[in-house]
Amino acid sequence: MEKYAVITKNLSKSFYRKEHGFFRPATETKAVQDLSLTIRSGECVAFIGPNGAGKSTTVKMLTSILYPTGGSALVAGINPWENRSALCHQIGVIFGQRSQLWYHLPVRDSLHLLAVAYNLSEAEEKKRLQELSESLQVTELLDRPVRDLSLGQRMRCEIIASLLHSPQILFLDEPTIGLDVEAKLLLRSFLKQESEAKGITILLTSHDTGDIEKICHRVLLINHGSLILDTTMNRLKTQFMSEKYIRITHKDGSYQRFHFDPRTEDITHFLKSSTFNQVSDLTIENPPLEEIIRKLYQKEVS
Amino acid sequence: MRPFFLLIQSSFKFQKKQLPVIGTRLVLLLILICIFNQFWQIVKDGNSATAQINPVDFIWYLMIGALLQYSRPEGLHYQIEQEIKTGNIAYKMLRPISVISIYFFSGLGSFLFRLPLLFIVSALFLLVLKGGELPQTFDAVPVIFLLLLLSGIFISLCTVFIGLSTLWLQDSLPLFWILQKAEYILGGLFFPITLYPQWLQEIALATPFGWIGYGVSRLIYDYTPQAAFETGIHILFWIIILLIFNHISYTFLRKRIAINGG
Repeated sequence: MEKYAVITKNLSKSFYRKEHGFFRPATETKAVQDLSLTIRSGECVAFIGPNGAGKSTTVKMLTSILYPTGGSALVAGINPWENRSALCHQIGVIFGQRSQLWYHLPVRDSLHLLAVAYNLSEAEEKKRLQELSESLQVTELLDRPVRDLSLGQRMRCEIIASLLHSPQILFLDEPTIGLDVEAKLLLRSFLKQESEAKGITILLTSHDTGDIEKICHRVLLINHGSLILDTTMNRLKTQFMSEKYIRITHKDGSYQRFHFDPRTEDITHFLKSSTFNQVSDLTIENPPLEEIIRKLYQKEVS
Repeated sequence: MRPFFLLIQSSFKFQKKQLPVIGTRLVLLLILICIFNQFWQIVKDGNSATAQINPVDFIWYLMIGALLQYSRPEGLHYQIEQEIKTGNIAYKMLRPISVISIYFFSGLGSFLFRLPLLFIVSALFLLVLKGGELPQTFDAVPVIFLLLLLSGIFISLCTVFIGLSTLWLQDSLPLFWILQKAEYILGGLFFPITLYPQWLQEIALATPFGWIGYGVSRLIYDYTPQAAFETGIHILFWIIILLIFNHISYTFLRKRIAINGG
């Protein structure tokens, strides 16, 4: 296995839009600018950023859908644009709102077709299908047509379709969008477990902080097509979670929530200066990851 | 080749679930045959030009031409159009199997399922309707059937091309509408093109429709090995042309996706 699953050097993509009028020049929109990053094999990386930041464009370039206007990339040691057919055997792709299963066919038939397309032997196909369908609890759904499945059931089957050929790298774009809490939990724990057990590299783009927190160890923040932040999940929490929330619950069941910054405020001073009556509980909470990301986005925008 | 056979097999499975729809098409086909059977009888009685073709030959001619229409994979061009419009097609290109092949073999599978079914039932119906009277060159049925299969390849490729026309026209319906009407008129669906003015006959035979429609259907009353061979060669020629067109469209699609994304 390659040491690095993904390497990009000054990867850039511009879109050109021709304005109406013969002599008017095309306007350039830089979607990704000089993006250089490395992702080690087996890493689970969240690729985050506000809408229009360039996340999807980057993922599309790395999966060979889009051709870059500059720079280079290696995915599983393969140049995505020069060897697309070799690449598709090494990557799995899940796009939350797209389907790769045949709508009218039973799931098993779609998966069999994919297994044949990926040149899996019958034994390999059977073993892999059993493993995945048991882990994702879809064994009883395999003979049902895709059109009869709920979104959560279909998504689990989509994941099987993406992992059937045991790819080295899995690209996930909003994999839990529209799913209920239980389905989200199942998918997240499955993906984490699969990555740990098989050493699959995961590159996740999601606006759901739950996905990011549960699946990924590293966070890449991108905005205006450039890499803004590259840090681990733990560092993100400690570095950017400097603010705290104090929740005071009174005996009558009511509660108050205070926000303070330990870097500038003394917590003992804060507690002494406040007058609380009939306190039954006091908790100090970290802000949710969602809020940290929102603040990072705001900081970027401003 | 195995994935392609599987695609055809999968299409068969889907078609089995479409039996009520195919049944409805069959009923419509049989009604069409009845109407034209009666119509041709009246026309023939009063028109010497049509006297060269007897009613039994004509109704078999009509049935074979209509089979192509009724066996075509409906909705496939619309499915391709939607996948282009939504950008889904870009994600389907990430599979180790050509997306054009997926569409083509799904369409062909649907055609191959419907054609024999409609052919057998319609032929039995015609035998009953005409009191067991057979057309002049009924022996040519196996050859006609082979040419119909070849026409099915053409029609499936044509349907894929119509779907891909969304890339230029933003919609596949205009081209579908034009080609369908061309099939009716230039393919001689309702009347053998020998009844057309000479100039229109020449135009019809300069297009693929004259060969997949009239060219195949006329063999039921005017079969010669040379005529069958000529028809087969022409259909093959147009299949190659469509393969080139589809390849160009696919290259254009790939280029557009690579530049603009899904």
